[in-house]
Amino acid sequence: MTAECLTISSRSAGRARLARERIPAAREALRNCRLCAHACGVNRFEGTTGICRAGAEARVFSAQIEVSDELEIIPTFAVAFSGCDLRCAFCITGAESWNPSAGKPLNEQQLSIDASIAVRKGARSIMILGGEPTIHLPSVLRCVSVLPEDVPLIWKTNGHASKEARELLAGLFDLWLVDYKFGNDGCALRLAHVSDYTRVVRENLLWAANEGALLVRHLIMPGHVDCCWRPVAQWLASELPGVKVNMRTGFWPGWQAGRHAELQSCVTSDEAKQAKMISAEYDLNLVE
Amino acid sequence: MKPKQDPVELMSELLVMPDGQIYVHNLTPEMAAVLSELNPEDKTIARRVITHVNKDVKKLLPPGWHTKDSSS
Repeated sequence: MTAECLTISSRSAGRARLARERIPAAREALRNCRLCAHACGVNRFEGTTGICRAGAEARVFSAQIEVSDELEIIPTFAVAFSGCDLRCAFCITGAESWNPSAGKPLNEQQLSIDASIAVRKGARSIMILGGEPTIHLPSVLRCVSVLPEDVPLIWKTNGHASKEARELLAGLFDLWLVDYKFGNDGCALRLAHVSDYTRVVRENLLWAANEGALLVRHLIMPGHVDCCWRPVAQWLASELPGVKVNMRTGFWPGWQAGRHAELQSCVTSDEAKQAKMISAEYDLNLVE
Repeated sequence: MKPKQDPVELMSELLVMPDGQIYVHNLTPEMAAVLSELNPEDKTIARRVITHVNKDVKKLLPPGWHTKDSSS
C-alpha cells in the first residue's frame, strides 16, 4: 500500500450543512433538468424523463467496501447510484448503470450507518459514483448531509456535468475522480451517443482542477490508443501538467461492446505497451 | 427475538481469460483476499489485500495449495 493517501481538507468541516442548504435548489433544478450537459429540460417530477430516464427519486445498486480503485483512496466505501446520462457501449455495469430503476430506493440514514460501519472496518474514504451521480444531485446532497464528515469524500464522475450542477457540488468533495473516456468527439458519439463530448469534459476537468484534488482516469480501449489515449494524454500534459492520471488497461468486452468490432476483445499487450510509451512521451504523472 | 436482518450483498465481477488472466471489477476486500490466496505472487492484488481468507474458504482450495497464514 502506498504511503501517500488522500487527506481530509478543510472543506470537510461544514460540508453536511452546506449540502443540506443546497437540497431545495437541487430539487427545484429537476423541474427543468439541466444537471448534465445534455440539458434535456424535462420536468422530472411529472414523469417525463430525458436521456438518462431518471425520475425525481434516486436508487442505489451497490454500497460496499471496495479495493479496486486507486491505492491512495482504497479501501473505499463505494455508493453507486442507478442511472446514467451516457450510453457507453462497453460499460461493465451497464445493466444497472443505464437503468435508474435498478437497485433499492435511497435510504440516506441507513447509508450513513453503513458508511460509519465501513469506516470502522477500515474504509478510509467514501466514494459517490454511478451510473452517473450528477443526474441525482438532490439525493446526493441528502446523502452528503448525513455522511460522516471526518472521512475524505470522493466524487467519481464522467465529467459531463453542467455549470448548474457544478455550482451545487462546489466545496463538498475532497477529490474529484473524473473519467476522461474519449479523445475525440467522433468516438464519443459512436460509442456513447454523446455529442460535444470533448468541450464538455475538458470544461469539467479544468473546473475540477481549481476545485481541489483531481485524479483523471482513462480506460484504454482496444483499437483506440492513437485516436483516444494519445489526444487525452496530450491535452492533460498541456492543460493540467502534473495532474494524477490512472491509465487503466483492464478493458473487458462487456455489456454492448460486441456491437463494435474493435471492442470485442481485451487490450493486447502491444497496445498496453504503446499506451505506456505515450504516457512517458507526455511525462504524465501516472498513479495506480 | 431478534429482528431478521437482510444478508449483506457484496458483489465482485470476474472475467477469467483462456490464458489464465483474471479481470476484476468492483473488487471487494474479500475477493481480493481469495485472489491473492490463489496467486500470492501477484503484486497487483497483494497491494489491495486488507483482509485474509478465512478457514472455510481455505477448505475449498485444492489439497496442497499454497496458503498464507490467516490468523490475524
